[in-house]
Amino acid sequence: MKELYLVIAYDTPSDSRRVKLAKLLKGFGERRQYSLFEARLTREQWAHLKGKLEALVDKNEDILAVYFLPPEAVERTWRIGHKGLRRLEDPEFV
Amino acid sequence: MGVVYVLESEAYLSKEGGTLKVTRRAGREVLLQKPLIAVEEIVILGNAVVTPALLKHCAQEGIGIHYLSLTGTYYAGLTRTPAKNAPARVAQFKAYLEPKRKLALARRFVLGKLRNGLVLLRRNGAPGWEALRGALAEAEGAQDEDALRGVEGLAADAYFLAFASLLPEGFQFTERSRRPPRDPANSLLSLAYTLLAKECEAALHIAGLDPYVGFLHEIRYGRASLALDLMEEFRSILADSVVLTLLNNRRLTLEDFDDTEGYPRLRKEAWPKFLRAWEERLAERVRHPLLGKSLSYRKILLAQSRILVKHLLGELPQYEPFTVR
Repeated sequence: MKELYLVIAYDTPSDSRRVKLAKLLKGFGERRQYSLFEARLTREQWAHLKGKLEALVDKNEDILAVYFLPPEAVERTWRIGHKGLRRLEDPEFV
Repeated sequence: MGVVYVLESEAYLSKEGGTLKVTRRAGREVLLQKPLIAVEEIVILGNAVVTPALLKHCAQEGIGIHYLSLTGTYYAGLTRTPAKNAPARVAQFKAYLEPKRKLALARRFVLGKLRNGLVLLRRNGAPGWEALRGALAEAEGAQDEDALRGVEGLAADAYFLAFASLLPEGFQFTERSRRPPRDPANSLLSLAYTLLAKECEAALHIAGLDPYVGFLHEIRYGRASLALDLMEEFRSILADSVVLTLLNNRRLTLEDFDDTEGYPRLRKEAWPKFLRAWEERLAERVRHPLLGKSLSYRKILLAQSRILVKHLLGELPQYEPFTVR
């Protein structure tokens, strides 16, 4: 299964849409800044998310961009303060 | 495949937006927050609380919730509602009612078990592995179900005798014991079999079969006998080999067990070590001889369930157990 690595950034003047966007994106990836998320998704999961984003974002007032990173870029990412994005399908033990 | 194991006994599991949130019951400490799209199963050891909203989501999306006791016995669960493949189940019940076909299937499961058991023993150089060769021939020729189960029982005794000799000092045992297991190695085997049975049950569900109607294992109220059938060919290569590796690499030692209940039990702190090894094994990829593709063991369980469906529907002359060389 091909895996996509996404960085999602957005901005909106509407408080309610900002809250809704954050809530939606939390279900798909990890929050890095107030309006920036990273996600690791399958094609099906991305299609699902895309549909929801299209329904939610106001094309005149908001901006939202999804950057797809190639595997080489993900490997070369330099980070301070947090570990890389976990694979979603990795088992968790709590 | 995302599995979440909840070992924390006071955990509180809820749904927050599209995420699964695990907190400690008293207090707000968040132990885990994970997108629900990535969760396929939640395995709970102990007494975690699951909110109705999460339960509802799991039921709708087909996410399995499984409660296991600390000794590894399965006691409650939310499994998928029957899959849409009704013709598969009708074919399954028909085969169950036809003594000849039932025996033929039971034989395939026994042969799969014996072949893979033999490979595990021979690979590790266990003395006495040759005993299983004779059992293979006897299983091929068994005239009825009783004879077949007799061969299987004797072979299992021989197998565990040889298997025990591969274990490090302090862990060797004289026979397989359960309910309760009387020594640490047996208690680990029981845990591994519980987890394997759960995986088999889920795979059969997805393939559209009824895990409760088996061919080798007789049906009994509340017993997932087809899951027990399917797990036969995987016992040695998945469960036994994980136990062997953990003990021989000293990843688990006698200090990881306690005896306070009167029989040896894996300490709670040692569970993650065991579960990690188990998950690693299931994620390992091997070549499936029939499909000619490399798949994770978890996918192979599903592939075998689908092969069984194909056989039951008459598309394959016989069920071919998954065997390693």
